[in-house]
Amino acid sequence: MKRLLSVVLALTLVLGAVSFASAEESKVLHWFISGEITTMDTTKVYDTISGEGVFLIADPLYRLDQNADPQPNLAVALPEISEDGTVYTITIRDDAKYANGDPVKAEDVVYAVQRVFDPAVGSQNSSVTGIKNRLAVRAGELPVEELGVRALSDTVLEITLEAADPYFTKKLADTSYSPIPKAFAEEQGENYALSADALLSAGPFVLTGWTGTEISWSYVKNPNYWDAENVYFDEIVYQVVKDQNTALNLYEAGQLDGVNISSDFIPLYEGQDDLTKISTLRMTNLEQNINQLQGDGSYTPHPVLSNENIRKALLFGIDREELCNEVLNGAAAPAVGVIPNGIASAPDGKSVAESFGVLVNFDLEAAREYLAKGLEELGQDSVTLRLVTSDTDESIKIGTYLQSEIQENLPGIVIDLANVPSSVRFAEMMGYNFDLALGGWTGDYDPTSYPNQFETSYEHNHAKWVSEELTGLISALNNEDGNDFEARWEHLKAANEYLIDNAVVIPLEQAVNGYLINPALTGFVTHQLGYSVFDLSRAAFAE
Amino acid sequence: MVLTLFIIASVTFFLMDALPGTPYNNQDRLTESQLEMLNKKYGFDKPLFERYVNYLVSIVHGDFGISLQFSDQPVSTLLSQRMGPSIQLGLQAVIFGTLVGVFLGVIAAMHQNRFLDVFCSLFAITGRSVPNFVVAVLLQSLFAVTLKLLPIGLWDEGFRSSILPSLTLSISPMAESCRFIRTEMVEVLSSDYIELARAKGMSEIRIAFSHGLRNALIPLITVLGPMTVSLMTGSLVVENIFAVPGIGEQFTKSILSNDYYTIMAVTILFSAMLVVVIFLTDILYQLIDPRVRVEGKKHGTE
Repeated sequence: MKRLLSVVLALTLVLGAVSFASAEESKVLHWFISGEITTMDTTKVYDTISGEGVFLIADPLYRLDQNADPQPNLAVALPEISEDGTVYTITIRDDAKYANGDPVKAEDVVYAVQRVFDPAVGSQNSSVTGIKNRLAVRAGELPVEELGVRALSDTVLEITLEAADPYFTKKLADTSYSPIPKAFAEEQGENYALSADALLSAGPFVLTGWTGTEISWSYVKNPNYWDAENVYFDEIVYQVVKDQNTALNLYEAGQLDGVNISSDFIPLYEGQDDLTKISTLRMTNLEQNINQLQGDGSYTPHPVLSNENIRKALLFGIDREELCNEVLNGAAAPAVGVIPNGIASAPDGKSVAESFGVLVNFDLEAAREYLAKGLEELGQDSVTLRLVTSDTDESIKIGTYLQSEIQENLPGIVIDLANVPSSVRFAEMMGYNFDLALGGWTGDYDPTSYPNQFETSYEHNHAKWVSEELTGLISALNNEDGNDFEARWEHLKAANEYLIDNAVVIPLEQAVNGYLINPALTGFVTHQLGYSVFDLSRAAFAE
Repeated sequence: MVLTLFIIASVTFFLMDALPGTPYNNQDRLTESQLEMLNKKYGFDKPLFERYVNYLVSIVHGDFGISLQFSDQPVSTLLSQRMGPSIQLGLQAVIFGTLVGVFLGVIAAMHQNRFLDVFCSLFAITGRSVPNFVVAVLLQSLFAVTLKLLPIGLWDEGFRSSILPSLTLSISPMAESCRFIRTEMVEVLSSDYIELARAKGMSEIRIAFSHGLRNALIPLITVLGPMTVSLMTGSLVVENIFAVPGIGEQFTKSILSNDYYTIMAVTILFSAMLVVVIFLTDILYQLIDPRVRVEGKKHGTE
C-alpha cells in the first residue's frame, strides 16, 4: 500500500515537471464560452452558445459593423431591392472558397436556407423570418423548392419576402445565410455537422478537435478564405468554463483572453481596462396572465390581473433604476417601454427613448392610487399573486427583489415567489396557468418583433391579451407599411403606447453583458442582438 | 440483474414522461407548427405505450437514441466521451482517499483518546461535513492561484489536471474510511486474539496492520462499493469548478432540459454499475473473510 502511495507521489512530481514547458504562441486567442456547443450546423442555431460556436466558421452574406449596419461579406454589395420591397437580389463574390478549395456558389446559400425550413432537418431556428412560403414548407405542405429563395446563376441569389421589411438586410447578417455545400451535406446525411470531420465551411476559420461533446475545441485559420490576409489569429481556442470563479482565475492567470462575468463580479472590475459592458436588446419583462386558461379549454379573465388598475400599480410601483444599478450592479439598463432603446432610430434620427419617450417610470404615488382603486374594484383588502421565475442566479435575484419591492411599495399585494427550472416555467407560461412570470424576450432588428408578441394570434402571447386595436397596428406594420418609414414609426409608437397604457406587460430592464477582455485585443465587433455577442473573425492583438 | 435494470428503465421512462415542458431548448420561441414538426421528427407524437415498447426494443439492440440538447448527437457518443474523466477521477479519489483514510483510522485507533486520535477524528468529521464546493475552491485557490503548483482547471494537462479534482473528491472516502476503521479497530484491538499476538511479542504496528486491519475492513467494503460508483459517475460541482468534461453534470443538465434519451441512458448506466459493484462487493467479502462463504452455504441448505 505504501509502495503504491509513493508511486503515485513520484508520478505527480515527474508529470508536474514535464508539463511546465508549454510556451504560448503569440497568435492564439483563448476564449471563454459558458456551455457545450449545442449544434455546429449553421441552419440549426437557436441559442447564443451555438450562435457563437458557428460564428467563426460561417460566412454570412453580410456582417454587422459596430453600429449594427450591414456590410457586404460573402455578398459583394448591399442587395438590390425591388420597388415593392419584397424581392432582394444579391450578388455573391466569385472568389469565395470552402476550406477544401471548392468554390462557393449561390445555390449553396439557397440550400442552407432550405435546410432551416425542411421538416426532415428539423431545425429549431427562429431567426430566419419573412421569406415567402416558409410556413407551408415547414408544415410539409409545399416542397422546399417552393421556398422564396433561388439561385439565378452561380453568383446571383434572389430572396422573395411575404411582405416588405426595411430591416431585412440586417437580418441577412444572420449566420443561417452561410453557404452549405449540398453534395457534401447529403453525403454526410444524419451525421452532417455532428463532428468537425463531417463539416465543410467557407468561413474565416475551420473547426478542429470537436467530435460532439467536448468542453474545449479550436478554430484554425482557413487558408482558402477570400479575406485570409485580414485574419490575424492562427488559432482561436474555445474553453467551456461553467464556474464563474474558475473563469475569473483563468482570466487573471492569462489562460483566457476573454470571459463573461456575472453582475456580482462587475463592481470588482469597475474602472479597469479589462471590463467591457455590452448593451443588448434583450428585454426582461414581468409577464402577466390576463386571460386564464380554464379546464374546459376556454379562457376567462384572471380574477386579479384582469383589473387594469392592479396592473398599472405593478407597472409604476417598481424602481427600475434601483434594480439595474443596485441589484444588478449595472448589468442592466432600465426599460423605457416595450420596444428596447437602441434597436433602431426614428426617421429624424432620434433614439427610441427620445422619440417614444420613457413610458415606464417609478411613480410610487400614482402606483398606490391605482392599487387603492384596483383593490376597491375587486372588493378585496389584499391579493396574492404567484411569481414564477427560472432558477438561475440572475432570475432568483431579480425575483427576490421584485417580491420585496412590490410588497413594500404596494401593501395589499402579496407575492408568492417560485424559482423553478426554466422548462417548468415555460410549461406554466405556455399552459396559460400562472399569475406573474419573469420572462425575457429577444426580438430581431425589426422593432415590430417586440410588440408583436402580445398580438392576439401570436403563440407566445402569454398574457392572452385580445385586442383588435393592437392586431390592427401589428398587421399594418407587418403587411402594409412596407418601406414607408414615417408610417411604420408612427405605428410602432402607437403599439408601444397601447401596450403600456393598458399595462399588458411590465417591462423591467434591458440586459447589459459584462465581459473581461484582454486590453491588447482589438478589431473585434460586438453585437446588441442575435446569437453571437462577438465577431472575433478580424480581431487581433495590438502589436 | 437484468430484471432489476428492466424495472429501473421502465420506472424512469414513465416518470420522465411526467416531466413538465418539452425537450427542445428553444421552447420559449418555437411556434406551434415547429413543435408539431419536431415532435413528428422525434416520434414524440406517438402514444406513450408505443414509445415505451420502441424504446425498450432499441435498448436491447444497443441503441440509446440521440441527445436532444446536443442537437442529435448519439447518446452513446456523449457517454463514451464523458465517462472516461469521471471514472478516472472517481477511481483516483477512492484509491487515494481509502488508503489515507485507512491509515489515519489505524493510527487513531492505536492512539485511542490521545492527541493523534482527536486529530484524526476531527479531520474525519470536518471532511464529512464540509461540502465539496468549499474544498474545491479552497484547494484551487491554495494550490493553483496562490502557489501556482497545479492547473486552476481545464482538462488539458493529463494527470496534473486530475490531481485537484481527485483530491477534492477523495475527502469523502477518506473521512468515511477513517471513521469506520477507527471504530472497528478499537473493538478489534481489544479482543483476545490481539492480546495473544501482543503476548507473542509482535510489534504494535504489525499487529494493527496484519491482524487488526483485515477484520476491520468488512464494514468499510460495504459502504465503499456504492461510494465508488457514485464517485465514478461524476460530480456536478467538482466538474464545473475544475472545468472537467465529465458525466456528472450531464445527468443534472439532461433532467433539467428534458433530454429524455440521455436521462434514460445515464440512469441505466448508473444502475448497471451499481448492480455490478454490489455483486463484486459480495465476492470481496469472501476473499477477505472466509466465514461469509461458510455462512452463505448454511443459509442455502436450510
